[in-house]
Amino acid sequence: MANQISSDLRDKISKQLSIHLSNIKDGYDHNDAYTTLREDISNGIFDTFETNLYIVRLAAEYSIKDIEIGRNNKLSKSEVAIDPWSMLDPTSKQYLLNSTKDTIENCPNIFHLSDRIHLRVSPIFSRLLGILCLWFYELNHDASQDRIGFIWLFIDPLIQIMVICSVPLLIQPEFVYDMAILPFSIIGAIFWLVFRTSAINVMTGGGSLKPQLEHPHIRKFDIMVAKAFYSFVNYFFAGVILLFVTVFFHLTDGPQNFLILITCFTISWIIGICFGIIANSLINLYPAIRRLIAYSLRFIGLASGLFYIPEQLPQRISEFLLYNPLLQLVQAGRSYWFYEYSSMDVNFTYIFYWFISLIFLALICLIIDEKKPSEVRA
Amino acid sequence: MSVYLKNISLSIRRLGKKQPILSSTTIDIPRKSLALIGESRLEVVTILDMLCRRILPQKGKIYFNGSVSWPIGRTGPFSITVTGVQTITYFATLYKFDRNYGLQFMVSEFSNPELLSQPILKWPPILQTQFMLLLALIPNFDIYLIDTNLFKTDQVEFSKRFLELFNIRRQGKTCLITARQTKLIDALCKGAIVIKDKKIFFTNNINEALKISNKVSFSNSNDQKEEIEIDDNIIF
Repeated sequence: MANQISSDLRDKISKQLSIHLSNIKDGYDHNDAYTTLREDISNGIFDTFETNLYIVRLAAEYSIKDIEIGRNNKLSKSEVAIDPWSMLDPTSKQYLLNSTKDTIENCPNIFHLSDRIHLRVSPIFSRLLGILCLWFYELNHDASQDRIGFIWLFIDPLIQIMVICSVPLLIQPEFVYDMAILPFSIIGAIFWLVFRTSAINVMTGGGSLKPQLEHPHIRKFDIMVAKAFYSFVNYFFAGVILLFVTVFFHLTDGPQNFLILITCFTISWIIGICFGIIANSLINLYPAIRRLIAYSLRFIGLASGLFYIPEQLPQRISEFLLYNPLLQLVQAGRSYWFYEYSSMDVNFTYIFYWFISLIFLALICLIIDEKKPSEVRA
Repeated sequence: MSVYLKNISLSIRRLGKKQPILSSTTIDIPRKSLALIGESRLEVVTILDMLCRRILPQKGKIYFNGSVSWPIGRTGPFSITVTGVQTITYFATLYKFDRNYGLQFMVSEFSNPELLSQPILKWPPILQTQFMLLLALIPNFDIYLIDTNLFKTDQVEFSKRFLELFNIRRQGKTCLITARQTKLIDALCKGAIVIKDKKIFFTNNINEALKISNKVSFSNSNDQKEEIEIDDNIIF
């Protein structure tokens, strides 16, 4: 196939590639130029002198390969003269282990500053710092995926919240038990979304952060929490901004007790993490359970009072739904935001027992999972 | 003692099946450069995974006397979508070294420091490898885990400089190097850690140890040139 590529075609493609390479702003990233060349071929620019598209594509890939080989040779051009074998031969003058002494003498301070900081940092603080560090790393990773990365990190949760809010805006009147419908739905949406996304992020066992387990300081739990912290920050800021926008437009008077509201939000987040850890453990045992968990999350979503309050439901149904701690947390959140509404159904003792039980169960799952034989790639 | 494995039993899952690697084994790994040799690559990788705590043994305890590196040479701890500077900052926080020093060191040693502000993904592969190796030199580890060819035949100048610096770094430290480049192993290592028959043990005889993984040291080879021609990459 390669023999069928005419030298004329190769020349023309190489010239076109040179033009694209000269146009790129970033002198190092050649990928843009390669992509443009491939697009040119798809757009039929070279069709006038070669009808077989596969041949044209192949010729383009050869040209790209030539450029890449050239780059690599340029990087190691000074190395051609050196015989690598002589450097590993103890009898040779160029034996690389001989030069260590000179290097130490010439550069006495080369590693001077790199000694570990001898600060006595508590292990808990060190662990939290590691989690924060992982979160930043994940943030940078996500933001650098495309050009609108950082803006999208902010816009995406806003869109999700607004999509969920649109349902109660359509089905409910302007005020639900004296609560303005927009802040009412925003509180429901952020509590549910922080629970759901943290549960899903943890359930996947860390996702894109998994390879970070090769750092000796990082444990599976750190990765899970870092992933979940991502959703906490996203929905916290998006929710707070939207709620204060509603205050700005006089739709609501503002938080009755912001601290308790944040506490309830944080508990929802922690419950989400615990749910995710338990689900992850179950999925490792029985992979098919993944489908059931996906449905159970939808059921929890519907039963969490996103679109309604228990007072609007028949008593039998509301009594049943109030066993859901997330519904109680959403109700508590609304009670401590609105001056006009105070839920009679919130039972903090019940929430506390759920909270402690889930944490306990999640820790047991983590301990058991850590000791299980893991998959190793050789 | 730098690493002490006490009564370790370790199994892994391979293609859905449980596979024992170590069974009630105890070893005191001395503070020197050692080759890590197993009957198969799987065993070596598993031991490295255990030492960097990616996997934990089902039974027994591991005691480390000092800080442990990540398995140098593996790309897992690096995200190529972030920039070089972001990676240095991340590693500086994790391994508690001065970030500015890290940047300074990288600027002085890296072939193309201008690239550091660009996503690693956009760098030529040669420079990605350079960066990953140089980054391992910045923190002052007590135990180095190495799972790569330390001598890159396509980057001789860089390899020379890297090995010079690494030699300074490894003075008085523990280095566990997977047996990829037998000649270099011969030059660097004072013994070997061998994984055989679900046990792990220390030996001073590297050549005997290399035979376990069917790798023969160059110093014992009768026809060196012939071997080079047969398989340059594997031997080197």
